[in-house]
Amino acid sequence: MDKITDIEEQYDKIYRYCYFKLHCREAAEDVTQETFLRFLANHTYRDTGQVLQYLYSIARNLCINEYHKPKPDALPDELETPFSEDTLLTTISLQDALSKLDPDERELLLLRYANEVPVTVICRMFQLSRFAVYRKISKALRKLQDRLKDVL
Amino acid sequence: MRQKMKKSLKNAFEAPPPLSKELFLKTIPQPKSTRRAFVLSQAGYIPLWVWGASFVTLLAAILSAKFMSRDTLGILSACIPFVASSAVTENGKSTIYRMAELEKASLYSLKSVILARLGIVGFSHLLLLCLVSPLASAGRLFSALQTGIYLLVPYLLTTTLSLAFTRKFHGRENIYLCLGIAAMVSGLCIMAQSKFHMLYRQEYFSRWVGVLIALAALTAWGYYRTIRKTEELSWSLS
Repeated sequence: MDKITDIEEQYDKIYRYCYFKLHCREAAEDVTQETFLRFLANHTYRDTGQVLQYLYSIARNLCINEYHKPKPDALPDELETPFSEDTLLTTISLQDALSKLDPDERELLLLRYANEVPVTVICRMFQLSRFAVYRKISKALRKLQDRLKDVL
Repeated sequence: MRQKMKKSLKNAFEAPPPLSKELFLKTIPQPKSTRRAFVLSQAGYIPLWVWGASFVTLLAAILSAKFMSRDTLGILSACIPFVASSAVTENGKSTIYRMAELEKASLYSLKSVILARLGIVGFSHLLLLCLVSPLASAGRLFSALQTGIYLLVPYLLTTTLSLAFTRKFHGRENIYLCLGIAAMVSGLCIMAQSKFHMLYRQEYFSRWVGVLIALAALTAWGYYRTIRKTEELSWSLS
Protein backbone atom coordinates (compact mmCIF):
# COMPACT_ATOMS: atom_id res chain seq x y z
CA MET A 1 0.00 0.00 0.00
CA ASP A 2 2.04 2.93 -1.27
CA LYS A 3 -0.59 5.47 -2.09
CA ILE A 4 -2.60 7.73 0.13
CA THR A 5 -5.77 6.83 -1.80
CA ASP A 6 -5.36 3.21 -0.74
CA ILE A 7 -4.87 4.24 2.87
CA GLU A 8 -7.95 6.45 2.69
CA GLU A 9 -10.07 3.65 1.30
CA GLN A 10 -8.82 1.12 3.82
CA TYR A 11 -9.17 3.62 6.66
CA ASP A 12 -12.95 3.63 6.27
CA LYS A 13 -13.11 -0.14 6.11
CA ILE A 14 -10.86 -0.73 9.09
CA TYR A 15 -12.78 1.92 11.04
CA ARG A 16 -16.07 0.20 10.22
CA TYR A 17 -14.59 -3.13 11.30
CA CYS A 18 -13.36 -1.65 14.60
CA TYR A 19 -16.62 0.20 15.19
CA PHE A 20 -18.66 -2.98 14.97
CA LYS A 21 -16.26 -4.75 17.28
CA LEU A 22 -16.09 -1.99 19.90
CA HIS A 23 -19.43 -0.17 19.42
CA CYS A 24 -17.78 3.13 20.26
CA ARG A 25 -16.88 5.80 17.73
CA GLU A 26 -13.89 7.27 19.59
CA ALA A 27 -12.40 3.92 20.52
CA ALA A 28 -12.88 2.64 16.98
CA GLU A 29 -11.14 5.67 15.56
CA ASP A 30 -8.24 5.39 18.02
CA VAL A 31 -7.77 1.74 17.18
CA THR A 32 -7.98 2.45 13.44
CA GLN A 33 -5.27 5.09 13.67
CA GLU A 34 -3.09 2.89 15.86
CA THR A 35 -3.54 0.09 13.31
CA PHE A 36 -2.23 2.26 10.49
CA LEU A 37 0.64 3.64 12.55
CA ARG A 38 1.77 0.13 13.43
CA PHE A 39 1.30 -1.03 9.86
CA LEU A 40 3.34 1.85 8.43
CA ALA A 41 6.05 1.51 11.06
CA ASN A 42 6.70 -2.09 10.13
CA HIS A 43 8.36 -2.60 6.75
CA THR A 44 8.00 -6.35 6.85
CA TYR A 45 4.22 -6.01 6.82
CA ARG A 46 4.23 -3.87 3.71
CA ASP A 47 6.68 -5.88 1.69
CA THR A 48 5.05 -9.30 1.96
CA GLY A 49 2.15 -8.56 -0.35
CA GLN A 50 -0.38 -9.58 2.31
CA VAL A 51 -1.38 -6.04 3.18
CA LEU A 52 -5.07 -6.63 3.93
CA GLN A 53 -4.43 -9.64 6.08
CA TYR A 54 -1.92 -7.74 8.21
CA LEU A 55 -4.12 -4.67 8.51
CA TYR A 56 -7.07 -6.72 9.73
CA SER A 57 -4.87 -8.81 12.02
CA ILE A 58 -3.46 -5.70 13.70
CA ALA A 59 -6.95 -4.17 13.98
CA ARG A 60 -8.41 -7.36 15.38
CA ASN A 61 -5.69 -7.73 18.03
CA LEU A 62 -5.95 -4.07 19.01
CA CYS A 63 -9.74 -4.41 19.29
CA ILE A 64 -9.28 -7.40 21.61
CA ASN A 65 -6.86 -5.35 23.75
CA GLU A 66 -9.31 -2.44 23.77
CA TYR A 67 -12.16 -4.73 24.67
CA HIS A 68 -10.33 -5.86 27.82
CA LYS A 69 -9.67 -2.28 28.96
CA PRO A 70 -12.05 -0.91 31.62
CA LYS A 71 -14.12 1.85 30.02
CA PRO A 72 -16.93 4.21 30.96
CA ASP A 73 -20.39 3.47 29.63
CA ALA A 74 -20.74 5.17 26.31
CA LEU A 75 -23.98 6.33 24.82
CA PRO A 76 -24.77 4.57 21.55
CA ASP A 77 -23.78 6.64 18.53
CA GLU A 78 -26.61 7.87 16.40
CA LEU A 79 -26.37 6.76 12.84
CA GLU A 80 -26.72 9.54 10.31
CA THR A 81 -28.51 7.74 7.52
CA PRO A 82 -29.08 9.18 4.10
CA PHE A 83 -31.33 6.21 3.19
CA SER A 84 -34.95 6.18 2.06
CA GLU A 85 -37.72 5.07 4.43
CA ASP A 86 -37.91 1.62 2.85
CA THR A 87 -34.15 1.11 2.96
CA LEU A 88 -34.06 2.42 6.52
CA LEU A 89 -36.66 -0.11 7.59
CA THR A 90 -34.71 -2.95 5.96
CA THR A 91 -31.49 -1.70 7.55
CA ILE A 92 -33.01 -1.54 11.02
CA SER A 93 -34.49 -5.05 10.66
CA LEU A 94 -31.19 -6.34 9.34
CA GLN A 95 -29.25 -4.73 12.19
CA ASP A 96 -31.64 -6.33 14.63
CA ALA A 97 -31.22 -9.73 12.97
CA LEU A 98 -27.45 -9.27 12.88
CA SER A 99 -27.34 -8.54 16.60
CA LYS A 100 -28.80 -11.99 17.21
CA LEU A 101 -26.04 -13.74 15.27
CA ASP A 102 -22.83 -15.06 16.86
CA PRO A 103 -20.06 -12.42 16.95
CA ASP A 104 -17.93 -14.61 14.64
CA GLU A 105 -20.71 -14.85 12.07
CA ARG A 106 -21.30 -11.11 12.27
CA GLU A 107 -17.60 -10.48 11.77
CA LEU A 108 -17.50 -12.74 8.72
CA LEU A 109 -20.48 -11.00 7.11
CA LEU A 110 -19.00 -7.59 7.79
CA LEU A 111 -15.67 -8.54 6.29
CA ARG A 112 -17.11 -10.25 3.25
CA TYR A 113 -20.09 -8.05 2.30
CA ALA A 114 -19.53 -4.65 3.92
CA ASN A 115 -15.75 -4.40 3.57
CA GLU A 116 -15.53 -6.67 0.51
CA VAL A 117 -12.47 -8.49 1.83
CA PRO A 118 -11.49 -11.32 -0.56
CA VAL A 119 -12.28 -14.84 0.68
CA THR A 120 -8.59 -15.78 0.44
CA VAL A 121 -7.70 -13.06 2.96
CA ILE A 122 -10.52 -14.13 5.32
CA CYS A 123 -9.24 -17.72 5.10
CA ARG A 124 -5.76 -16.61 6.12
CA MET A 125 -7.08 -14.34 8.90
CA PHE A 126 -9.16 -17.05 10.56
CA GLN A 127 -6.90 -19.90 9.48
CA LEU A 128 -9.81 -21.68 7.90
CA SER A 129 -10.18 -23.49 4.61
CA ARG A 130 -12.02 -21.84 1.73
CA PHE A 131 -14.78 -24.41 2.08
CA ALA A 132 -15.17 -23.69 5.80
CA VAL A 133 -15.42 -19.94 5.18
CA TYR A 134 -18.07 -20.42 2.49
CA ARG A 135 -19.99 -22.79 4.76
CA LYS A 136 -19.92 -20.37 7.72
CA ILE A 137 -20.99 -17.44 5.54
CA SER A 138 -23.84 -19.47 3.99
CA LYS A 139 -24.98 -20.55 7.44
CA ALA A 140 -25.01 -16.95 8.70
CA LEU A 141 -26.89 -15.77 5.62
CA ARG A 142 -29.44 -18.56 6.05
CA LYS A 143 -30.02 -17.51 9.67
CA LEU A 144 -30.51 -13.91 8.60
CA GLN A 145 -32.83 -14.95 5.80
CA ASP A 146 -35.01 -16.91 8.22
CA ARG A 147 -35.30 -13.92 10.53
CA LEU A 148 -36.06 -11.49 7.73
CA LYS A 149 -38.64 -13.46 5.77
CA ASP A 150 -41.26 -10.73 6.08
CA VAL A 151 -39.01 -7.75 5.53
CA LEU A 152 -37.02 -8.69 2.39
CA MET B 1 -33.84 -12.38 -1.78
CA ARG B 2 -30.31 -13.42 -0.84
CA GLN B 3 -28.82 -10.94 -3.33
CA LYS B 4 -30.94 -8.12 -1.89
CA MET B 5 -29.82 -9.08 1.60
CA LYS B 6 -26.16 -9.08 0.60
CA LYS B 7 -26.58 -5.54 -0.75
CA SER B 8 -28.46 -4.41 2.36
CA LEU B 9 -25.68 -5.74 4.59
CA LYS B 10 -23.45 -2.86 3.51
CA ASN B 11 -26.03 -0.40 4.85
CA ALA B 12 -26.58 -2.43 7.99
CA PHE B 13 -22.88 -2.22 8.80
CA GLU B 14 -22.76 1.53 8.21
CA ALA B 15 -20.71 3.15 10.95
CA PRO B 16 -20.98 6.82 11.99
CA PRO B 17 -18.45 8.90 10.03
CA PRO B 18 -14.98 9.07 11.60
CA LEU B 19 -14.17 12.40 13.23
CA SER B 20 -10.45 12.85 12.75
CA LYS B 21 -9.74 10.92 9.56
CA GLU B 22 -8.56 13.90 7.48
CA LEU B 23 -6.28 15.16 10.22
CA PHE B 24 -4.79 11.71 10.73
CA LEU B 25 -4.19 11.16 7.02
CA LYS B 26 -2.37 14.49 6.84
CA THR B 27 -0.05 13.64 9.70
CA ILE B 28 0.85 10.02 9.03
CA PRO B 29 4.35 9.38 7.81
CA GLN B 30 4.18 8.49 4.13
CA PRO B 31 5.89 5.22 3.22
CA LYS B 32 9.16 6.03 1.48
CA SER B 33 10.15 4.21 -1.65
CA THR B 34 13.81 3.42 -2.30
CA ARG B 35 15.52 4.34 -5.55
CA ARG B 36 16.01 0.65 -6.34
CA ALA B 37 12.31 -0.06 -5.82
CA PHE B 38 11.45 2.88 -8.07
CA VAL B 39 13.71 1.68 -10.89
CA LEU B 40 12.37 -1.88 -10.57
CA SER B 41 8.79 -0.61 -10.57
CA GLN B 42 9.47 1.11 -13.90
CA ALA B 43 10.54 -2.20 -15.46
CA GLY B 44 6.92 -3.31 -15.20
CA TYR B 45 5.78 -0.42 -17.41
CA ILE B 46 8.10 -1.28 -20.28
CA PRO B 47 5.88 -2.92 -22.91
CA LEU B 48 6.41 -6.51 -23.93
CA TRP B 49 7.40 -5.65 -27.48
CA VAL B 50 10.55 -3.88 -26.22
CA TRP B 51 11.67 -7.09 -24.53
CA GLY B 52 10.31 -9.05 -27.51
CA ALA B 53 12.55 -7.15 -29.97
CA SER B 54 15.61 -8.07 -27.89
CA PHE B 55 14.46 -11.66 -27.52
CA VAL B 56 13.84 -12.08 -31.28
CA THR B 57 17.31 -10.66 -32.01
CA LEU B 58 18.92 -13.04 -29.55
CA LEU B 59 16.98 -15.95 -31.04
CA ALA B 60 18.00 -14.88 -34.55
CA ALA B 61 21.64 -14.72 -33.38
CA ILE B 62 21.51 -18.21 -31.88
CA LEU B 63 19.75 -19.78 -34.86
CA SER B 64 21.89 -18.10 -37.51
CA ALA B 65 25.08 -18.88 -35.58
CA LYS B 66 24.04 -22.51 -35.62
CA PHE B 67 22.83 -22.83 -39.21
CA MET B 68 24.30 -19.91 -41.24
CA SER B 69 27.31 -18.86 -39.23
CA ARG B 70 28.79 -16.62 -41.99
CA ASP B 71 25.59 -14.59 -42.35
CA THR B 72 25.04 -14.01 -38.63
CA LEU B 73 26.55 -10.52 -38.69
CA GLY B 74 24.34 -9.52 -41.61
CA ILE B 75 21.18 -10.85 -39.96
CA LEU B 76 22.01 -9.20 -36.66
CA SER B 77 22.91 -5.89 -38.30
CA ALA B 78 19.45 -5.96 -39.87
CA CYS B 79 17.76 -6.71 -36.52
CA ILE B 80 19.71 -4.29 -34.32
CA PRO B 81 18.08 -1.07 -35.68
CA PHE B 82 14.68 -2.37 -34.54
CA VAL B 83 16.08 -3.03 -31.07
CA ALA B 84 17.40 0.54 -31.01
CA SER B 85 14.07 1.96 -32.16
CA SER B 86 12.31 0.08 -29.33
CA ALA B 87 14.47 2.05 -26.86
CA VAL B 88 13.72 5.40 -28.49
CA THR B 89 9.95 4.84 -28.71
CA GLU B 90 9.99 3.78 -25.05
CA ASN B 91 11.77 7.04 -24.24
CA GLY B 92 9.12 9.07 -26.03
CA LYS B 93 6.11 7.03 -24.89
CA SER B 94 4.91 9.66 -22.42
CA THR B 95 4.88 12.33 -25.11
CA ILE B 96 3.42 10.02 -27.76
CA TYR B 97 0.42 9.17 -25.56
CA ARG B 98 0.22 12.74 -24.18
CA MET B 99 0.88 11.57 -20.65
CA ALA B 100 3.96 13.70 -20.01
CA GLU B 101 2.22 16.27 -17.84
CA LEU B 102 0.46 13.65 -15.78
CA GLU B 103 3.71 11.82 -15.16
CA LYS B 104 5.36 15.09 -14.16
CA ALA B 105 2.65 15.65 -11.58
CA SER B 106 3.31 12.29 -9.98
CA LEU B 107 5.64 11.45 -7.12
CA TYR B 108 8.63 11.16 -9.46
CA SER B 109 9.37 13.63 -12.23
CA LEU B 110 9.09 12.67 -15.87
CA LYS B 111 12.86 13.05 -16.11
CA SER B 112 13.39 10.41 -13.41
CA VAL B 113 10.88 8.09 -15.05
CA ILE B 114 12.55 8.44 -18.47
CA LEU B 115 16.03 7.98 -17.01
CA ALA B 116 14.95 4.90 -15.06
CA ARG B 117 13.34 3.28 -18.11
CA LEU B 118 16.27 4.22 -20.36
CA GLY B 119 18.64 2.75 -17.80
CA ILE B 120 16.73 -0.54 -17.76
CA VAL B 121 16.35 -0.75 -21.56
CA GLY B 122 19.94 0.40 -22.13
CA PHE B 123 21.32 -2.16 -19.70
CA SER B 124 19.28 -4.95 -21.30
CA HIS B 125 20.52 -3.92 -24.76
CA LEU B 126 24.11 -3.85 -23.56
CA LEU B 127 23.62 -7.35 -22.19
CA LEU B 128 22.10 -8.41 -25.51
CA LEU B 129 25.07 -6.98 -27.41
CA CYS B 130 27.49 -8.84 -25.14
CA LEU B 131 25.59 -12.06 -25.82
CA VAL B 132 25.22 -11.72 -29.59
CA SER B 133 28.66 -10.32 -30.46
CA PRO B 134 30.53 -13.64 -29.94
CA LEU B 135 27.76 -15.42 -31.89
CA ALA B 136 28.02 -12.97 -34.79
CA SER B 137 31.78 -13.36 -34.99
CA ALA B 138 31.42 -17.11 -35.49
CA GLY B 139 32.75 -18.24 -38.88
CA ARG B 140 34.48 -14.89 -39.48
CA LEU B 141 37.92 -13.52 -38.82
CA PHE B 142 36.58 -10.70 -36.62
CA SER B 143 36.97 -10.63 -32.88
CA ALA B 144 33.89 -10.32 -30.67
CA LEU B 145 34.87 -6.71 -29.89
CA GLN B 146 35.13 -5.87 -33.58
CA THR B 147 31.73 -7.48 -34.21
CA GLY B 148 30.32 -5.53 -31.31
CA ILE B 149 31.44 -2.30 -33.00
CA TYR B 150 29.89 -3.41 -36.32
CA LEU B 151 26.61 -3.94 -34.46
CA LEU B 152 26.81 -0.80 -32.35
CA VAL B 153 27.12 1.49 -35.38
CA PRO B 154 23.65 0.69 -36.82
CA TYR B 155 22.25 0.75 -33.26
CA LEU B 156 23.61 4.23 -32.58
CA LEU B 157 22.74 5.49 -36.07
CA THR B 158 19.09 4.47 -35.57
CA THR B 159 19.05 6.01 -32.10
CA THR B 160 20.57 9.32 -33.25
CA LEU B 161 18.22 9.71 -36.20
CA SER B 162 15.15 8.61 -34.22
CA LEU B 163 15.94 11.00 -31.37
CA ALA B 164 16.37 13.89 -33.81
CA PHE B 165 12.97 13.15 -35.36
CA THR B 166 11.12 12.50 -32.09
CA ARG B 167 12.22 15.95 -30.89
CA LYS B 168 10.72 17.55 -33.97
CA PHE B 169 7.49 15.57 -34.28
CA HIS B 170 4.85 14.69 -31.69
CA GLY B 171 2.15 12.09 -31.24
CA ARG B 172 1.70 8.59 -32.57
CA GLU B 173 3.48 9.28 -35.87
CA ASN B 174 6.74 9.16 -33.89
CA ILE B 175 6.36 5.38 -33.61
CA TYR B 176 5.99 5.00 -37.38
CA LEU B 177 8.87 7.39 -37.94
CA CYS B 178 11.13 5.39 -35.61
CA LEU B 179 10.13 2.15 -37.30
CA GLY B 180 10.74 3.73 -40.71
CA ILE B 181 14.21 4.86 -39.66
CA ALA B 182 14.93 1.40 -38.24
CA ALA B 183 13.81 -0.20 -41.54
CA MET B 184 16.01 2.22 -43.50
CA VAL B 185 19.12 1.54 -41.39
CA SER B 186 18.35 -2.16 -41.52
CA GLY B 187 18.17 -1.98 -45.32
CA LEU B 188 21.48 -0.07 -45.40
CA CYS B 189 23.10 -2.79 -43.29
CA ILE B 190 21.84 -5.54 -45.60
CA MET B 191 23.13 -3.59 -48.59
CA ALA B 192 26.50 -3.01 -46.92
CA GLN B 193 26.77 -6.73 -46.21
CA SER B 194 25.92 -7.81 -49.73
CA LYS B 195 27.09 -5.05 -52.12
CA PHE B 196 29.79 -3.19 -50.18
CA HIS B 197 31.41 -6.08 -48.40
CA MET B 198 34.82 -4.41 -48.51
CA LEU B 199 33.60 -2.04 -45.77
CA TYR B 200 34.11 -4.88 -43.32
CA ARG B 201 37.76 -5.30 -44.27
CA GLN B 202 40.40 -4.76 -41.61
CA GLU B 203 41.74 -1.59 -43.27
CA TYR B 204 38.40 0.17 -42.77
CA PHE B 205 38.07 -0.80 -39.12
CA SER B 206 39.62 2.44 -37.82
CA ARG B 207 36.94 4.36 -39.74
CA TRP B 208 34.25 2.26 -38.11
CA VAL B 209 35.69 3.19 -34.73
CA GLY B 210 35.68 6.86 -35.76
CA VAL B 211 32.04 6.64 -36.89
CA LEU B 212 31.14 4.84 -33.66
CA ILE B 213 32.70 7.59 -31.52
CA ALA B 214 30.93 10.29 -33.53
CA LEU B 215 27.57 8.48 -33.30
CA ALA B 216 28.03 7.82 -29.58
CA ALA B 217 28.64 11.54 -29.03
CA LEU B 218 25.59 12.43 -31.16
CA THR B 219 23.41 9.92 -29.27
CA ALA B 220 24.54 11.27 -25.90
CA TRP B 221 23.82 14.79 -27.10
CA GLY B 222 20.43 13.66 -28.47
CA TYR B 223 19.43 12.10 -25.14
CA TYR B 224 20.67 15.19 -23.31
CA ARG B 225 18.52 17.44 -25.53
CA THR B 226 15.48 15.14 -25.15
CA ILE B 227 15.76 15.11 -21.36
CA ARG B 228 16.32 18.88 -21.27
CA LYS B 229 13.13 19.22 -23.29
CA THR B 230 11.14 17.47 -20.54
CA GLU B 231 12.44 20.07 -18.07
CA GLU B 232 11.20 22.86 -20.31
CA LEU B 233 7.65 21.51 -19.96
CA SER B 234 7.54 22.18 -16.22
CA TRP B 235 6.02 25.66 -16.56
CA SER B 236 2.73 24.20 -17.77
CA LEU B 237 1.92 22.73 -14.36
CA SER B 238 2.24 25.94 -12.40
